[in-house]
Amino acid sequence: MGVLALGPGVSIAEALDWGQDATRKPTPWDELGPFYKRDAPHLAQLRQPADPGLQLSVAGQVFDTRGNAIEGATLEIWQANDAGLYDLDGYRYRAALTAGHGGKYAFESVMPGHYPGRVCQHVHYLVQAPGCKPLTTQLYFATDPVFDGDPQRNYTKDPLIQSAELVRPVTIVRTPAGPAANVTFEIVLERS
Amino acid sequence: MRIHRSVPALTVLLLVAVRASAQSFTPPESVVALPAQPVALVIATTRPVAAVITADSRIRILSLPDGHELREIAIPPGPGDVFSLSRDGRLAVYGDHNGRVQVWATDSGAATCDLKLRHYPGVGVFSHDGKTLALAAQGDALQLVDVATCTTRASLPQTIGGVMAAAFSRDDRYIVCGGGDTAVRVYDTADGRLVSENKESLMSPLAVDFARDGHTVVASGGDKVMLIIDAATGRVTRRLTGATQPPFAVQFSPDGTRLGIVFMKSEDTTRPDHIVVIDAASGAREVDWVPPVMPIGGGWSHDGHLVVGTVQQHALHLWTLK
Repeated sequence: MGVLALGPGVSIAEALDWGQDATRKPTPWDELGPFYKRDAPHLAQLRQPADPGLQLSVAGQVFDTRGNAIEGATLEIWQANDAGLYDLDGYRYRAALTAGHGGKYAFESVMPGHYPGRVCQHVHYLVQAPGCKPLTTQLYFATDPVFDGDPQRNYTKDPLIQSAELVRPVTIVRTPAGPAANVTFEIVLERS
Repeated sequence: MRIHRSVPALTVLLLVAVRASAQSFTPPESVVALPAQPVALVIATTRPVAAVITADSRIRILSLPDGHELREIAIPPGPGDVFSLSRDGRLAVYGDHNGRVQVWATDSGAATCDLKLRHYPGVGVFSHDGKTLALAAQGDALQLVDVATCTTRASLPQTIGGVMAAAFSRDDRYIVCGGGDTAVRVYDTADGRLVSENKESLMSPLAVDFARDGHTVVASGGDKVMLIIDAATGRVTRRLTGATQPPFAVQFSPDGTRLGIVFMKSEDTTRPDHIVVIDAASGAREVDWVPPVMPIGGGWSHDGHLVVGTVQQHALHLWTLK
């Protein structure tokens, strides 16, 4: 039987992966943080009608690095409320989502407040899909005053932000219920 | 800076539910003037030695209780993530936010190990004999590093979210890990074999320790529940509820008779919360104290007292909880 030598540390699967894709860069890692809580409810409406804070709509798609949309990927998200408080006793502002057709996901929330001890507003993600490495990351907002309008330059003000890619543009729109922030956050998982 | 410690262990655990109720108590205080502002403190458990990181990027090795400086070690400038002493204080480990981890012999100041992690460290704790360093980059698998050769002799399995806290058993045969995925796992340190697993926590365990008997583990975190777990089976033998805040550090006293519990003010982690010392056998609370400002660290001293450090300008205030 012949042997295909690819060089040290390079597997055939990796080589094939490189050849076929390299179309999408994996979403940068960010730490899980201390307040992850499993068994979150399956819901996309985190914001309740009387909740204070700027309405926040987040939408995106889940892909692998080959550019394949991952229908059925699971996303667990958790965040502080408008006042910067995490719910440790229940599941407010915690949810589990399943990516739909085209890997699409979306949820309705409020812009998280600044949690004392952390620099920036953020939403935690834990994303899993068969055949892919689990991803923990965090979503940040370009409108966060901490960035002084220049997140590319100032994202390192929060030492936990590993990449400016995690700071996403925010579009403020008018709705009958008042102003709302729309954010798109695409997730790209590494193949396992 | 989060401080991780290697911890001794204990006998019988008959802990009662810990309620962080206020009590009137002011522990004895001593003040150590330092050349620069202290930012982190760790304490050796078998010798009267402490180590302080100061804002001028130095580790200062201090004798206790007088605070006399024994040695000064330069560290890389910038924020740090892991700082720990071996039980005898002869080794110090410091990991910075760039993922560089160094071990020093505190008697000589010589660097004995220099490692680079994928990113900043989340756990760095010595075994009781000081021969092994349990080390993990934040979110990554735990490595068991042979301190003498500065090489990894075992890597524990990767779990989601990595390791939030770790502690060795008193005989160093086992290590307990609080996983970001909420599981508490015990591994054999000889080969990294999984011994037991408990998945009853809903939130990540932020604090773990082995009791002195080597068979019992305590784990706690955002659930505000302290689980007493049989290390061999992973079965919960006792569940202690009633805390109003998450414990984020638990540490048995050197003789194993008491347990120190540091609570996190979850709504504002920049402010102090209760520090409690309980008798491990009876569960009776011996001390319940809220520091005046956020502590920078502490630990059980060689003479069996929990010592907590706070800062006022360039002065280190050492509070002995007795």
